[in-house]
Amino acid sequence: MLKNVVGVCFSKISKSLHEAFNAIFEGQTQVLYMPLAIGVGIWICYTYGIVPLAYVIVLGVFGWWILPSTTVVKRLIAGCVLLIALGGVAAILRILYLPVSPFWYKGIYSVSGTVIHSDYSPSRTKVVLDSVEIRSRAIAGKV
Amino acid sequence: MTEGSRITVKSFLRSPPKPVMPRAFDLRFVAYFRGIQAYGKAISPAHIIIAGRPSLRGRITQGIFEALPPTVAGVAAAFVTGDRVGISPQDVKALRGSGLAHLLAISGLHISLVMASVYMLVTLVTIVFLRNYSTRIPLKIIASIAALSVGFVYLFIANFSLPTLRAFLMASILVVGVLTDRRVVTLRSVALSASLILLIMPESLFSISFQLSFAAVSVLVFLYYHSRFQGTGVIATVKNLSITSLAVFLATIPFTAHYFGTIAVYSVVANIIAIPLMTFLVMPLLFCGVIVYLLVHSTMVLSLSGVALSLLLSLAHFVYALPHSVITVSRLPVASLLFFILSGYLWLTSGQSGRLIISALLSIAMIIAILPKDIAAAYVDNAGVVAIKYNDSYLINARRNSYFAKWVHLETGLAVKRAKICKKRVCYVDAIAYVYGTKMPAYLCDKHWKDRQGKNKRVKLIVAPRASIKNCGVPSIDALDIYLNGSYIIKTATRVTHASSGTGSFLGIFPSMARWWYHARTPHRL
Repeated sequence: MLKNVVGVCFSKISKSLHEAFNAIFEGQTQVLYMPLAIGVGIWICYTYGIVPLAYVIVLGVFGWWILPSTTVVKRLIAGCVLLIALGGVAAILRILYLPVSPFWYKGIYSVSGTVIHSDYSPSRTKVVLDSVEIRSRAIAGKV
Repeated sequence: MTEGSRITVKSFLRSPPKPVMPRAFDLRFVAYFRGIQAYGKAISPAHIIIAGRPSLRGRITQGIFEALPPTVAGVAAAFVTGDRVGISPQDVKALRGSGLAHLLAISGLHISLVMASVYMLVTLVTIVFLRNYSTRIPLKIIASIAALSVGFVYLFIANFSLPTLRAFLMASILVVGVLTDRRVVTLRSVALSASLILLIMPESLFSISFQLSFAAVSVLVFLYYHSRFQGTGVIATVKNLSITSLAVFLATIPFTAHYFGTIAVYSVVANIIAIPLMTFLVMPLLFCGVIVYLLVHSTMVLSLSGVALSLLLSLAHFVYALPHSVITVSRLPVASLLFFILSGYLWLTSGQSGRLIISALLSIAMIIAILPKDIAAAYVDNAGVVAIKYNDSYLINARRNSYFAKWVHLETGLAVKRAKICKKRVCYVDAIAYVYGTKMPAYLCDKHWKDRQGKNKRVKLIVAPRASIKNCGVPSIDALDIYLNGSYIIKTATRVTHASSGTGSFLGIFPSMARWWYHARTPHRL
């Protein structure tokens, strides 16, 4: 019984993979337009904001809904809207994933931190510090 | 100072600066996605509290600097580990001016060299040493996995930079294609790797590295797919190299014209010489040198690569020194760049069938590029009016740096002069009143101004970069607006744009939240 289930699952996965490979490497010209549609979603999101992106998606869904069910255009719109939305979602998730808190006061500080990246040369070294702790703020004129 | 060390240092820190003007490079955007809160320069020697262990990348870079003279070592380190700190500004200038700066990014050339070498080496070793079993063991799979693993290690050494990641993804797709017996060098694999990068790192869409990299690779794959590279022998190789360099040059012109406002004229010729030099001499010697250094700590082979690198740098300096090696052009408008990208995309994907649409899009792009620019009357940021149009040139605030001057020149195409602008507290240009460092209501609500003939005219817009004004009965841009939205471009009194309405305003995706965030966390400094 278990052997059968595993066998069926394996064949299904293998078939899906086979189809995916076919789509990527040989068939499906639509794959070529994927980055364009995803890029449009990201561009709208980061340039104009989430509201215009929502408008575009709603408009797309509306267009898909009012068109007759058999047209090629309908499939095209559905694909575009899905990929634009996917780009938008990726853009928003990326923003939420990196909540960098702002650093407001410029000035001279005594800081300590762990070097997480270092670009070395004998004359100057560029480092990125992590888990930085600000020990004191010196007065510019007295340093 | 190695990774993992804990250090203490006295340093001048500041938050990533806002773009100098709308549409200019936004370091805040880049810093946000790198998780960087502040930038700083050390003003005292750093004290190491806990010493870390040198990373593989650090050890390689250090070995390169031990073996080679500093100028060559900086470039060698950039080629192998992507560490560009040691390159002298003159070399960077020469490499850019000769169109060879792309070699500094660890990309397809480097990754393919490493992975192909490993693939061939593993295949050879297996055939030679496991002769009896070579027909029974899955040679292709083992070699592919070895190549992928080494490629990943290289990606790690190169600090997951965007061109390296792109090249690695492409190579991975290629390996999967080889394993499943498919035709692999296709635009589909380029599209797939672009989609994956965009989904994982959406911010890379705005990176010039991503745009240049995919523009060049797409054109190269297109040429390969349509078998434009034919024949063997020296003449055929030179011909193929010329086609490659010319195609990449043409594909990247709109991007370089948009971002840098410059075109490296002799880039095609320089690349015809530099690419074989790089592929057959510089990179193999460098990689062999690094491996020898890591295994037996000898710098002999690395020193040899220094000669090849000097040749490459001499070529860059020679080409850069030629007359008219770099042409400065006025910045290509965003709309024009978008039409260029769209037409290129359609040309690559639809080929002959979309010829009419492609021509139309290209024509629109060119028309937009040559149309006279809609030049701003003034640029304003929290330092006040920083640039103002005066006759046929721009006066820019004497305190502004050269980057800003270059940016204004690129954007407007007009000559830029440094000057003290608007010495008085209030100055009027085309019915726009600029009010400086004052909170006096008389100035802030001054609704009239006298033109050159002495006639009273109504003020249509008040700009008060250092004060807060509202409900004056006149539209205004005040300190709070500039604080929230960044710098402003004033075309006319009724046509105003600000930095937050352009690319790079990542907080623009939640405008109201951004305002709340600023208000909640920032002390009012008006």
